Amino acid sequence: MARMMLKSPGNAAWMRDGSVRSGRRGWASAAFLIAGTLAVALTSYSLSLKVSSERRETDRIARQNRALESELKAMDAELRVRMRLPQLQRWNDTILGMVPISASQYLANPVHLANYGKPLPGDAPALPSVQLAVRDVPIAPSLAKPLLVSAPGAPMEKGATTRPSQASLPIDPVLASAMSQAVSSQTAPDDLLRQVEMTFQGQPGNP
Amino acid sequence: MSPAALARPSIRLPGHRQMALGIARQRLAIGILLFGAFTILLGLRLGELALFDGAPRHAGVAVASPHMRADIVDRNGLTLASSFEAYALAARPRDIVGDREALVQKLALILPERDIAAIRAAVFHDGKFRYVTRRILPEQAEAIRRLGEPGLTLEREAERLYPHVGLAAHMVGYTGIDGRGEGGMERAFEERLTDPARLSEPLVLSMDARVQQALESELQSQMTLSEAEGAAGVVLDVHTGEILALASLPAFNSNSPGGLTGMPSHMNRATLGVYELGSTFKAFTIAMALDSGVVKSLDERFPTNPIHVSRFRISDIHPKPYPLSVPEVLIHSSNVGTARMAERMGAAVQKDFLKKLGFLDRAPGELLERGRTLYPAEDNWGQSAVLTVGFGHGIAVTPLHLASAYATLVNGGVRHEPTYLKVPEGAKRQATRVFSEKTSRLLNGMLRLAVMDGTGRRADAEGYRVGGKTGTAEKVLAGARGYDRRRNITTFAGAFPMDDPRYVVVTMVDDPSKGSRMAGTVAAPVFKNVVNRIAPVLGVAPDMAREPDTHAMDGLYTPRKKPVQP
Repeated sequence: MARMMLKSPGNAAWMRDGSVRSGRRGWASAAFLIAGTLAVALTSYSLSLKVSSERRETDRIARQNRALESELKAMDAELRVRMRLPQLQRWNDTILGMVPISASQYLANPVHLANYGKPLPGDAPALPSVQLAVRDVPIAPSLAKPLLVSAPGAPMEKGATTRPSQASLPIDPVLASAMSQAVSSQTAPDDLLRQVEMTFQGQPGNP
Repeated sequence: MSPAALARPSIRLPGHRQMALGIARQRLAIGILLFGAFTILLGLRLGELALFDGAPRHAGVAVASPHMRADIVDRNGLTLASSFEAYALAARPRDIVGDREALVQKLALILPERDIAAIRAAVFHDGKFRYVTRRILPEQAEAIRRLGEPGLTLEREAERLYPHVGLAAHMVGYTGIDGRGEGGMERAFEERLTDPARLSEPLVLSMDARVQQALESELQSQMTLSEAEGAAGVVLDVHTGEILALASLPAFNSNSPGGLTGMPSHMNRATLGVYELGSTFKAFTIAMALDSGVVKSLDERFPTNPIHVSRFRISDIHPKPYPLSVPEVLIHSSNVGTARMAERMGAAVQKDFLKKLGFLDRAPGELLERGRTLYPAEDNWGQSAVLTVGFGHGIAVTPLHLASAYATLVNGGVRHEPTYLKVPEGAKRQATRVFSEKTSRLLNGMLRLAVMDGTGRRADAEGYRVGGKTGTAEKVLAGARGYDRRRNITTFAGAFPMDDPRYVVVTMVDDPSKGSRMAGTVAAPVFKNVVNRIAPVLGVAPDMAREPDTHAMDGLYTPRKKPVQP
């Protein structure tokens, strides 16, 4: 030890200068190393954080999916239990009373369908039927009369300002009575029908 | 104080300091080495974890609990059984803190369906562990968890739900408290249903739930009407051997099967119960006789006078005063006629045909509840056995056996092994020929005549060209020899449409006690109602204009004059 201490002053001159330089280099490299390590560590840590958060998120979504799936399954099962076949059968037996379709209700082809259009046996020979554009319901006289027939003796309602008989244009009494008769007796549709029949019978090809 | 004692602390030997320094360095070095070794160990372990241990084990989401089973669905995808997560609640009485009675009250509020005495017994009992209840809902489990009682344990387990309750209970089966299949397909396919790799893949049955429902409800209403002991039925596709419906009544609720498996409701009458199915067998004897050539022509005549063989006397119930042609033997269900045919055939031919039809084996199909048929012993298959087996006595089979054999008879003479699993569209199944096509065609015509002019008139579903045969047999006396004359097994086995058979239906009513006890009035109407309901579902359209070819039988029987409507 004593020998080393004796020796060291001899080397000090060149070592001092060198050690300062190498010390600086060492410090710089250490700083560089630390900074580098820090940078790598931070980057890796943030990456790792990100990955783990992503993983947690996928886990959460998977768990949520699983929960939804089982919920869906439960609801589906509930629906199925509610509409179970024995239950439907019970409803049918007690309330609906539906029966299986019978053989005669099946139509195998269009000819079967056409059979439904056959005239009933014992009917008169079918005339060509014509749909008239006339409303042939009976017209209530109470509606027709006040319009067309003047009734001098009838009591007038208070507040009624106009009456056909008192209209500014005088109504021909003969024409009015004829019209009222025509409308109330409903001859017109029959006449029309007869006329149409005659027209059809008169045509060539019709008997 | 002695001078020596005073002097001692101040004594410092030369080299002492160096020695202390050396020891300190040594210790330091050891410490550094230890620290370094620990660091290296940690590093190595980290490296090992990173390189060799793969992904952390908890990465996956905890999903399936144990005992989860794959779903069971019918041929159209309708769910018949499916699993749900549930919980089992257990008590560890020694770990319970706080007032036990209060805990019992709280549990009773959460579990209203559980008897409070049972809860109390579990909480107060003197052991380490006891189940309070099994299969509770997740909401209830959550409520119990919120109680925060350390002495209560919740275990995850699976709950099996059968949405259609008792529908096809015997075919689908049920699971026990531990989640294992204990009957039907649940038991037969235990491995397949619990295979973790195939949990999401449902087991597809050949059964059609609509057909099953029709069969069960019609059998049930007839059973109620005639106050019968039980009933069974089978619907079979004759071209593939698929079982579309298989009913056994009385049934049970698959969701809570309860009780022991030995209960009458748990016995599968369609595959496990064996019955002497009587006259339905006559069609086979005629087919065997025609096919083996011992009866060469349909116009051969068989007299109906009784036969005496050993101690038995074989006679017809309503004997005709004239010898019967082959079709008439079937139409009038003549015991004597079929016995004479069987006599000509002999035991060897008869046994061979019965073997090929599957009557000497256990019930076919994948179910494990398969009945063993009863037939005369090898050394006892003498003449009397041949004659009685010829008209369906002395041999006991399951309704499934009968359905399978009828399918063989009407489909052109080939036997397909019946199956409960859906056969993929267009798949070819292994088939063995039993009867010739000609025999099959002739029998189709005769079975149609047996419905139109014979004992099966009430089975005639309008427009569906039904053919079949009734069978009424007396039940075997329990615990004694001989038959019980007051108790019958009534059966109808038939197919439709007879011009090109597609489905076989077998209906059996066991011991009807109210009204008529004959198959023609008990089992035949069930057959008709079932056909009327299932034919539209199965895509068979009625056609009043079509009939199977019965020209070969023309002039060999007397057609019925007036149609009798049931």
